[in-house]
Amino acid sequence: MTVQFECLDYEGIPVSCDADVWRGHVLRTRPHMAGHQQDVQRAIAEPVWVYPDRAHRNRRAFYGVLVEQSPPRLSYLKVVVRYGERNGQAHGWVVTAYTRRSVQEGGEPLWTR
Amino acid sequence: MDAMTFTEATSLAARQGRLTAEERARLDAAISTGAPSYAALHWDETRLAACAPFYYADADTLHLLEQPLQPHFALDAGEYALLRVHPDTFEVLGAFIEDFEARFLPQHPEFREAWEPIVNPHLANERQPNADELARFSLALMRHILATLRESEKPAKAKA
Repeated sequence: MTVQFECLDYEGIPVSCDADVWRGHVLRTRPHMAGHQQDVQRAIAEPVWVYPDRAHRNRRAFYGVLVEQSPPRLSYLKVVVRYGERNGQAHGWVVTAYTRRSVQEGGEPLWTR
Repeated sequence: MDAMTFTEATSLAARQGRLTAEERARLDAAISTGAPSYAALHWDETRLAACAPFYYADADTLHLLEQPLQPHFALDAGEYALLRVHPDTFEVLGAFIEDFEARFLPQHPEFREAWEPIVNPHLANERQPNADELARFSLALMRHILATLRESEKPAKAKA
């Protein structure tokens, strides 16, 4: 499995995004995300909000901000990460990533600064 | 973006993980005011019917994808469904449904009969759904998602 990128989440847990997920899902369904790989990593490392997933106990929804200059526009960038173990250590894998204009998760955030 | 200038909002966004609660609320207001209501959306049913179903099993997400794919943002329509909306024109370009098999289908079994041959053509008498069947499936789902959004925006008294 080729890794597209790897980073640490806000708690220092390694999170990776497989190339199959990035190219086969995120870019296949949202080609405009092509230039925003670093924004996805930043949403994981320095999120504005982190919410528990509504349906999966082992997933979290990270919210960062995506800035586009032309035309000027701000959106939220939602990144869903699935957590488990790799080599006996906690590890996360990116499930999906997309832009939206509001945070609608229900419930309380797991984390805000 | 009425509450602050784009430059101010960008400055806050640059510190996204280190914002105070007040700054976070201001940034949220700046972003959320760009989210359109149902009344601001428009769509062409012929184009919605042409949205191709694409199921990504790892994320249990069903996409209804317009062709060619265009930039969009996701607008929450409820029931795990999000509309793909063009950021400038607010045209509905398709949709995607998260937790499709785990949550959506059990709540909406009326879509299962049409869905089975799409996801498992080898189990459906080895017959692939034809273009008309795919178009009917896509349009029925899109109408359902749009109706869900419309209902969700009705005032609570009107619903009761």
